[in-house]
Amino acid sequence: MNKTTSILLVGDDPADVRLIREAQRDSRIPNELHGANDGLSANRSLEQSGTGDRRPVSDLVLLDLNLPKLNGQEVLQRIKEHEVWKMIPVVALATSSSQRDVRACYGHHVNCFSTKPMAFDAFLDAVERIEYFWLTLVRLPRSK
Amino acid sequence: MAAERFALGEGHHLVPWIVPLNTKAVMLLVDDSKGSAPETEAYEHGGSAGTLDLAQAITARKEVEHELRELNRTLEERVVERSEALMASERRYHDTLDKMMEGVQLIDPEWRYVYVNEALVAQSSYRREELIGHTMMEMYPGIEGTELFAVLQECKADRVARTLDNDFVFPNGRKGTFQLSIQPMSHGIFILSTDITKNKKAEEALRASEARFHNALDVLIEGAQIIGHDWRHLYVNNAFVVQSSFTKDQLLGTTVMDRYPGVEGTDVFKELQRCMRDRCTHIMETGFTFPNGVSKHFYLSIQPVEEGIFVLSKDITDRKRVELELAEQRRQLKEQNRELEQFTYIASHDLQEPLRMVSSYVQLLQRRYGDELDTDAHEFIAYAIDGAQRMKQLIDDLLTYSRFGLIAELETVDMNEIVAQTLANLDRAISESGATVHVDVLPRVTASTTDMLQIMQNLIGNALKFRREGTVPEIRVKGSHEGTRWHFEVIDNGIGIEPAYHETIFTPFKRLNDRSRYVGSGIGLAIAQKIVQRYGGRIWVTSGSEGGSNFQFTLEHNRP
Repeated sequence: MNKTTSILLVGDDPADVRLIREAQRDSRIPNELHGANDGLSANRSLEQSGTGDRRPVSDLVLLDLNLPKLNGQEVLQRIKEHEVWKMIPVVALATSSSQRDVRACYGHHVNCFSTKPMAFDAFLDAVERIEYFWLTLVRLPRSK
Repeated sequence: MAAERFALGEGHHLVPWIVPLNTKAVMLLVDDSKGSAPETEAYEHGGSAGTLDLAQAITARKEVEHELRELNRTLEERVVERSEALMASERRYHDTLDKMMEGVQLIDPEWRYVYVNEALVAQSSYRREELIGHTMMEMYPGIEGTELFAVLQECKADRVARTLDNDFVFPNGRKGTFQLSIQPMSHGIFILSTDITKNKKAEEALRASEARFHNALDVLIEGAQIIGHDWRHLYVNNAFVVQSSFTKDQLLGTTVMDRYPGVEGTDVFKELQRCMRDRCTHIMETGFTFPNGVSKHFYLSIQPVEEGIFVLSKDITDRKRVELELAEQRRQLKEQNRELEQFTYIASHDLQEPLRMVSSYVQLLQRRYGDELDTDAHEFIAYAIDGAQRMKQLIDDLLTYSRFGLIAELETVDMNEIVAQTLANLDRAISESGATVHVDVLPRVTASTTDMLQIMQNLIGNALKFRREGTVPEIRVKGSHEGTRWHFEVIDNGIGIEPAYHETIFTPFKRLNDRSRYVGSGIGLAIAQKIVQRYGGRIWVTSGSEGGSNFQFTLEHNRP
């Protein structure tokens, strides 16, 4: 149970990815953040993991919806249609709160949908809360 | 019997009487001079004529007298028999004539009624006694001038039979139509008459109705044609002639196949065939290309009639074209809506993301290195953050503004509920300002709920926002139904608007007031105007009598 939590952050904007890393710097929860800068590399990251013991490498996926190549919805769909990956909680992060995106994400069984707050403090707060909720408050399926 | 007188000595005249007697004819010579009793010499027919001795003569005379008596008796018996038979026959004859359905009249050569039966009495307006013995001219003055009388005269003179249908006007003004059969007789004429007034009337009514039907068809806006079982055009009205671009003569008598070569392969023809064969009706909309290359759209109603089929055709080419145009416009509009939606989406994401980065990293800078920065640096950072915030607000408003260009679902909207909802949304602003809001009874409108909420929120929100310092805001909402439009007013006692700006305040991002005192990007009234215009209405502002503003807007019943 001392194992470090592994988070896969899927996002193409380095500034955005860095912002999340910075937000996590003070996080009380020890975790490993893997980056994937587009949908395809996110796919590869997931595929490389857990082929032997069928255990997913990531405990949580933070998914930016606006991605090149394979867009956020498609990445989400692949994860949720995969026999093993579908157990990984996916948090969709969006700049807009467009109902179209919200509906589409929940339609593909996203675990939660959140908009990135504009104000930096609010953003830090949001990241912290998301991690606290998914990595501390709830129980996730873990390997032996 | 003509008698020859024979000279028989002085004072005697013998008159020969030839009387048929069984196989023999007997000639009696009657002495005329002694009165009625015939003292006659008889000669056997074939015998030799000569002088008979008296004895012989007397004997012969007695025999003859006896035979004559016998003969007379037989004759009398026969006469009685025959008379009785004749009378019986005549009675039967009369009875039959009397009871006949047809009218019977016998007219003598002097045009007098000799006999009329009961049916004729019923047909004429006279009783039998009034007719018998009187002439036609007496009974029907002026009859000599009629066509009927001419025919009667002709029958009488030329001894020919005639039949005719005659419209007859009786002296009392009654009109009737009779089928007459006129037969010349040895003495006068025999007329058989059947009253066909009712048949005639029915026939006329039928003909009139047919004529009316045809007239109606002739002037119908829809094309009408009757196509015979042999596919020939039996009837076409003017509208169809126009539709077909053929002349009436080119159509009538010509088959459909000859007129429209290749028509057998069309769907229309298949339906016509089916209706002709199965005697069923069919309604269809179809395109049809005429031999001259003109394509038209028709609404067709096909129904079987005795002669074949009746086809009613309505030219809906224009309507179809408009429909197609409308469909195309709708498609384009949908396309535009989709593009706009796409734009909205991209704008909301792609425009805001860089902004968020600017704002976030400036804030990160402040957070991490705040201790190392001087007051100026902190002030600059604050402006940068504020600018980014305002930019975000502008983008959001612009998106809202563009969204209200989309087509909305129309429904019946109770404006009282809309205002109640708006006041609930603005509850905090109302309670903070201590405002009083009077709402009159408002009409129901046909509009989109979202649109109505937005416009009321903008107007009432403005009334609360632009309040006069030190004055408790008072807001009144009024609404009425005026002819083809609804009219609403939102009246406040706020800071008011200078008349010079009464028009420009409706342009997007137009602000009249100090940003530090009144927040907002100036999009609210532009959105309100955009909404109102979509309902064919308008929005304007006047200055209230005691300061403040009176915002008014109208909505048309039927959107243009």
